[in-house]
Amino acid sequence: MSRESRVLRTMGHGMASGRSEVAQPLTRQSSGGGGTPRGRRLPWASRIIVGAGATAEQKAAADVVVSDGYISGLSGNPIQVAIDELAALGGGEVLLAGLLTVVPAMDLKSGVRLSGIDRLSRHSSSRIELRNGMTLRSGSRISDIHVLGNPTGLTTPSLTVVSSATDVTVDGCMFESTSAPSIVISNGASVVIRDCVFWTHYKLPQTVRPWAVYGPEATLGQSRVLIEDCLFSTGQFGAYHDGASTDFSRTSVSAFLDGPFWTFVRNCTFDGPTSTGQACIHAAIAEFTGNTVRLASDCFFTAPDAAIVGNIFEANVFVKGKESAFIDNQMMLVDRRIPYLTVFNPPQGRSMVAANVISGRHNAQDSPEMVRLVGGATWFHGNVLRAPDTKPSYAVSATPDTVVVHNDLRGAYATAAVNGIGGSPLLNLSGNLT
Amino acid sequence: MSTWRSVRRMLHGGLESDLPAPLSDLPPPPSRAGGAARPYADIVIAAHDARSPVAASADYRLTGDFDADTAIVAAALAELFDGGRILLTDGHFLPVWHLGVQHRLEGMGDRTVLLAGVECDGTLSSVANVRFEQGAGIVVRADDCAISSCDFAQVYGDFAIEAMPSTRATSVIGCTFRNAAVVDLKGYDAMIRNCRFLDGSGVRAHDQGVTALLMDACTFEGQYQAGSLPSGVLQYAIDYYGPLIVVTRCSFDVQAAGPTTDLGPNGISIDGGVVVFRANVVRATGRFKFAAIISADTGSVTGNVFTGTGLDEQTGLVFFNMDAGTGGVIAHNLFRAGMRANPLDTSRVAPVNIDAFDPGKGGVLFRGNVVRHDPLTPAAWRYGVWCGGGPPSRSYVVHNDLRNFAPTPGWTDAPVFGAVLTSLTGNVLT
Repeated sequence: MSRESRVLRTMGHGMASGRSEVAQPLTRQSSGGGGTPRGRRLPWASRIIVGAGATAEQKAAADVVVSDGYISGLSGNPIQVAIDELAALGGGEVLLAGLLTVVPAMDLKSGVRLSGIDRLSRHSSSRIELRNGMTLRSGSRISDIHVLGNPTGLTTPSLTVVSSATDVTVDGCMFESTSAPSIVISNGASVVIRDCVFWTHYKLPQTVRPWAVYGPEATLGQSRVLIEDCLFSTGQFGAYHDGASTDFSRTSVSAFLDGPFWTFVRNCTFDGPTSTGQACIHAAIAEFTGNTVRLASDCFFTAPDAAIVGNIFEANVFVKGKESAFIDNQMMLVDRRIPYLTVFNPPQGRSMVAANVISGRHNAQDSPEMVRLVGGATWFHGNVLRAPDTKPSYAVSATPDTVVVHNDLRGAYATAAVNGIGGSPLLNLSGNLT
Repeated sequence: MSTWRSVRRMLHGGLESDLPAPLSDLPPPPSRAGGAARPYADIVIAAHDARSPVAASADYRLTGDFDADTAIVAAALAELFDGGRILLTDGHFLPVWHLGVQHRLEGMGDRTVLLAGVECDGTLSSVANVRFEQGAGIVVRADDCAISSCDFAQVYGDFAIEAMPSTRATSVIGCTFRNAAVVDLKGYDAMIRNCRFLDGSGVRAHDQGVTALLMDACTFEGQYQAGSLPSGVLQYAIDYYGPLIVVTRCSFDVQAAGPTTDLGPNGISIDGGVVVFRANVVRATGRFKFAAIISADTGSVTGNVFTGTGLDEQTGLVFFNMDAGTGGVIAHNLFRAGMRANPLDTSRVAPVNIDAFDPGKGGVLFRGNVVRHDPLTPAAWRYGVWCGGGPPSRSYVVHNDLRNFAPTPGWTDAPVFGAVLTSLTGNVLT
């Protein structure tokens, strides 16, 4: 059977008559003024809801027009009504345009998508301010929308993925948050976050520092989260939603990302000045590959078998896993404290640090070496270390079971290339260029 | 009656009153044969069930009838004499699209759904930002075609993308493949970046014509199975045979399925003249024959993490055969496997297997790697690295971390097994 024939049959076309059950013309609805959304029930049903600032063309096409964009919930939430209706139909899409401020908590039910009205105007024409957050369930998808967190200091997350939800997608969105996580992922959920921008800024005088993506550590071991091609950043992004606050400290944002096990972070950029000594990536991340990290604070990798491969770090890194692999990374730190890289192993830990380039100029020190390898039996091989200006006392400090072989440590120390922590010599120490 | 007029009449049949205005008051453009078609331009085509406001001002609106829509699409594409962009609104599209030279087919919304295929017949044609459903896919018949940000939900047996023999420089970027979808590359030179292969989807290239495949930052997830395949299951995540393949920064989270009486599948099977396999993470679970088998005349496998968890009756985590040409380098990788003895081959269990036996050729340098082995069941022999192919092996196993092979009661353990190894120095064994 030809592909066309298969399609026709699948779509309900009678092969003999050629009649189409889906070939009904759209009956355009006049713009509504609120109340129950109207419109035909198409094979893929959709509802258009527009708020403040929508164009005349968008309003003309809308099922519901919320003229001031404010949905208090006192007379019903037309977005939630549309979601419920589409969920009852087995799925569909709610298209938004303009700015909508939603006070009631929302529930994006299974199989329903919430999208900006036009992908070509990404991040600009469709905005939703979630005063009390939104729940995502299996098959939910939110895309091409500028999502604003609660501006009033409440810590309700913008989006919460419920436990064990599958096939949840967040795509092409911009998240702006001042006091709460943008996305919280519950235990056992499967989520893809792609092509998003996270602005997690800190609005004085609040003291809550939001994670951009947060998986509570109590849920370790279950969820699967893929984060690709995203930008995690801080900034003085305009607070147009309340029109008042403009004082966003560029030195007080702390946290970008926390995640449960099976978090895969790829091709992302973490960019923003933050406070020294605070964690900006603190996560049980299974894979962290191809990312660029430019942070004034630290990255903590806590998964027992994390693969940290092919990244660029301008941040201090702590690897705390039992069998982690830190391979093929470039670390270039300027005016930061040493050690630049610290690997903590539990007693039976067997992490691997290989083929990295680590260089920089330090201005403070927590301990006297550039790389610190503590506990277990780390394999440190084939790395290049350089300290062109301020020489640390040691290039590498390590506990006795560590193997430090065939590295290029020239010019990376003032006293000795390798230092045995606690005074014990390393058993395996050969082939290094010093 | 001209093609344009017939299309216009079909288009307006029963629909005119639904449209806010006539399509255009401009004189209808002549057919392509008329010789005055537009140069490179944009055309907006609305699906019959489009909801986007832009549909109101579309150049064409489809009817939902297959034959009528096919004629409309043909007429629309004929306008783009010198190439141009075909913008599709949200909604479902029934016709097959035959793209000519420099035709760019793009979805405007998140739900631009194509229910029939696209044929890239002209060079420099492209498809972007659309969803293919119910088995529809793309056939590439010309050079320099680009496919980006598309979503393919295949029915097993259909190709999501099929690049025909002799085509060159197909690029696939940012796409998602589901339901055991297959990207089949028969032409020359292809690039695949930032794509997700879900539900056991995969990439295949078997034909001699393929000269180069560059694959970067892709994700593979799902089940694969050897032998006779049930519906919806593929044998490989990557099955490639060709002169050059470069795989970098990819993530493979693959599970083996199938009866326990068979040898399992190979999750990744690469057989190339030159192979570069770098900075990838491979996680394999279940009864793989090998999670990855990499053969090359000349190759480098560096900076990867290979992990086997819960491996069952497997003959190895990885298998390298890379010495037929100037040789291969396997360096700075982490191999970590928990394995059981294979009932079909109880003689040995080894995470890493190297065949290097071509006399006079380059051999394989295995250097700076870490091999971990957590056995699940006893076997007659247990090795970290098995170097085979018959004497004299041309494997150089130097400066690796091969600890974790302390003798176990009832086992015969050895960090490295090989017949007359050329070099075996500097490894850390205890």
